[in-house]
Amino acid sequence: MRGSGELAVAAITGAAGGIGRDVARAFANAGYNTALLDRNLPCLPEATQGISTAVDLTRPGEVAAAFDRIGCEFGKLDALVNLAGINHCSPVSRMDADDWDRMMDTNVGSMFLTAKHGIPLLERSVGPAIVNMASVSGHVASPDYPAYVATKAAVESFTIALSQEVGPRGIRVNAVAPGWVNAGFTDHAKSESEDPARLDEAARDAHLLGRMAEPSEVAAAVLWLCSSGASFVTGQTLFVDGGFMRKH
Amino acid sequence: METRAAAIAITGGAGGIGSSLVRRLRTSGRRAVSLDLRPCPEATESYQLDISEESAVAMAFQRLDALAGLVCIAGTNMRGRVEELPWEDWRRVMAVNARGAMLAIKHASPRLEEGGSIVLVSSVSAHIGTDGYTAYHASKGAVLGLMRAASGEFAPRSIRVNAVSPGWVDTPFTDRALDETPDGEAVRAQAADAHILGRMAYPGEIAEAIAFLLSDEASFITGTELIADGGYLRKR
Repeated sequence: MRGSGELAVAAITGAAGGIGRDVARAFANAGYNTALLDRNLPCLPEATQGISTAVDLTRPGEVAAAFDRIGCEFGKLDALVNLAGINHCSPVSRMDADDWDRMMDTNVGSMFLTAKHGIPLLERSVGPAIVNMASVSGHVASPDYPAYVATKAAVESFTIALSQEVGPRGIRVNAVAPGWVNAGFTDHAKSESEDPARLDEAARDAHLLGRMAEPSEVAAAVLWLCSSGASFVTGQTLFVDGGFMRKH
Repeated sequence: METRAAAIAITGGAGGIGSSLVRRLRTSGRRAVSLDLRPCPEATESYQLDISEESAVAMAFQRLDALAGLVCIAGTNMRGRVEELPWEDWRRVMAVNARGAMLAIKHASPRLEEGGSIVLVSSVSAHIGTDGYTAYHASKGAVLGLMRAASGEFAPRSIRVNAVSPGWVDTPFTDRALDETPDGEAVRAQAADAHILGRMAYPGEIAEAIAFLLSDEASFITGTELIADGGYLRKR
């Protein structure tokens, strides 16, 4: 996929999540060594070479240690994929400031920390790339999720800023913005909703293609953005949303 | 990655990006049909026509078998500020860049298989304005509007419609445009600096982005614009 002889290395945060597992599998199938990072210890996909680390991505010391280990193990990094994210259902008027901070730290702050500690390793690669998980929620507000909407907009702005900073060193930085994805994260939102059946119907209606994305479809886009095929794509958000934005 | 037997039709298949895409598709075992003013010897089939002439476009697509995809690259450029640009020049740019894409979609439609993919080539020019490229900017904006509209129209047939927007690409098209620019050499010298990645795109890099959107790897991507500009828009 990357067209080079030696094994490529990908670090993936949120690798134990619904999208993360598919992303980890996609990179493993494409021949990458993977370093899987998550709060919960993620399982390495079958027939995979790599390491798996339990890490709180909002703690600078833990993130630094995780990337030290990646450096010791592999000596470089070709792809950094930031998927880790949480959701919180609360209108601004009832928002607990600690919950707000937790959202910002997890969904955006973690990307800052992994970039900070990952860049020195990415600089040792030929054609390195970072992909951050954004969302259509960065563009279209859902009424009960202001913190999520704000963090996902922040992800895209951070992606633009980082692409400027590291572009001259040959590191590309992009975001992927899915609509609804058929994964555990969406199941959790449903469990918080007062009317989960209506939510299901809304998910179908929200997309031109009349369905949610499968996690593997999001994974394919992430993998492509890290591949040599995307060598002139940087500072962008790739919508993998089945026409969600077009319908809004 | 490429699993379909049906062909991909490419308008502007003989140009810099087009011929690069033809080679990319042929290398991965796909059939590539070129529709261009000039012949494209590398294509499986090559039709010489003016993409803005409906009867010619209709006739060409009638002769084709099933299509897995359509790529609209054919484009032209005429220099001139609003106050100086002749009406005929404005219409020529609009005819090739916007009407040509519309006509290709219209007549490819009966040939396109369910689950197929349409890719229109727009440009960063749809998002910015530069003195003297009035018609080109307007036409590339129209291409994005056409893409968004068509994505809804084709969604019930599971046909995806997207756009790829390059920045500067090192092609004969760019050479010609710079030749016509009074300070062309100075502009070329600055072009590399205008991108975060510090260079123009190679045609093959734009072909790769198009090939991705054509492939089943992009099965949930529709109605969107993939900007492959090396960070040109972000640097402004």
